[in-house]
Amino acid sequence: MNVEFRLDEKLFRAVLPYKDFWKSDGKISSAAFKGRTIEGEIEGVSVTRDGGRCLKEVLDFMKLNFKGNFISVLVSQCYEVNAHIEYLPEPDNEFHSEIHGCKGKKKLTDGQAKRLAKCANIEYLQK
Amino acid sequence: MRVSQNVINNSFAVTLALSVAISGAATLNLPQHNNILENSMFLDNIVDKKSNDLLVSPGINFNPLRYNSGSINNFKEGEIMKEMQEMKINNLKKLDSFLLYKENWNGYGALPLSEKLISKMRGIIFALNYQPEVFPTACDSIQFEYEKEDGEYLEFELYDNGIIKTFKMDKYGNESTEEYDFDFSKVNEEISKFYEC
Repeated sequence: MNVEFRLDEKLFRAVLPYKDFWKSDGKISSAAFKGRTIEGEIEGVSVTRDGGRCLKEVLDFMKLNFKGNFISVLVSQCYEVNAHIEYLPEPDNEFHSEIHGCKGKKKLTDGQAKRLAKCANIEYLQK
Repeated sequence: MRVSQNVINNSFAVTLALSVAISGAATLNLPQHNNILENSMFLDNIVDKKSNDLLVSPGINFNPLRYNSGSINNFKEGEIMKEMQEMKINNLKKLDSFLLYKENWNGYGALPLSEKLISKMRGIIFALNYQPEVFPTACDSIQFEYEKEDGEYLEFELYDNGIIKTFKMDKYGNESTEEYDFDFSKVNEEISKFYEC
């Protein structure tokens, strides 16, 4: 797979638990764009790139591999907030990628997380 | 403003006091169990050690019973207070649900949030009159946030080690962040400023 990302490529993220990240206005909180802490270091935000697949294919893949609701941001939206995207395939997810604050720094700033949360698109809501 | 500490002696009492407030009872005597308060380091900034009373900054009304006390004549204000009390109860319930998180609770390997952190956050939520929206994060913190329709935004992130981070974004998108040891009066001041603008 191409290590470069298309500007219109979508990056999908599962949001779990189902209810805890949603704001009263129906949008997602920036808390959903904060990476986990491992040994005191905050990691990048894990996403699944579309990799040229159609939406249905990606959602089918997401449903098989993740629980939760699914949201997406565009690669161009990540670049607009000066974030860096890295393609980091995993054995069980060849589409795995991470959004980083910038090259060499994994943690997103609060502003980047907020702006990405604002423009995030809801792709799938569990009924 | 000083408010009797008796009212906030434990989590159960908090929920009970708020429930009673909403159901219309005016006074409630609760047994004294100070463990949660004594164990929460952030309360150093809230509790007057000499009188054992709770200190709350002017402009932020702490008393959960106030809206029901008869001092409010304005129906609209009463409605807002009622809504805030309901949000407070919902926030406390939501925080309780964070205790159930197990490893990998977000599907991306997040570790459970510590009881200590959740307990601290409960105290803050209980003491705040302007209720925020509360969210867990995968980076060992709890985030609480306020947002206006024009996009102005105020976010706090409370960490297990007692550090709190404030992130602000004005309606034009200008950002500022600040990190400091938890200070309830400072948090209160930020929230008051946010709503005064």
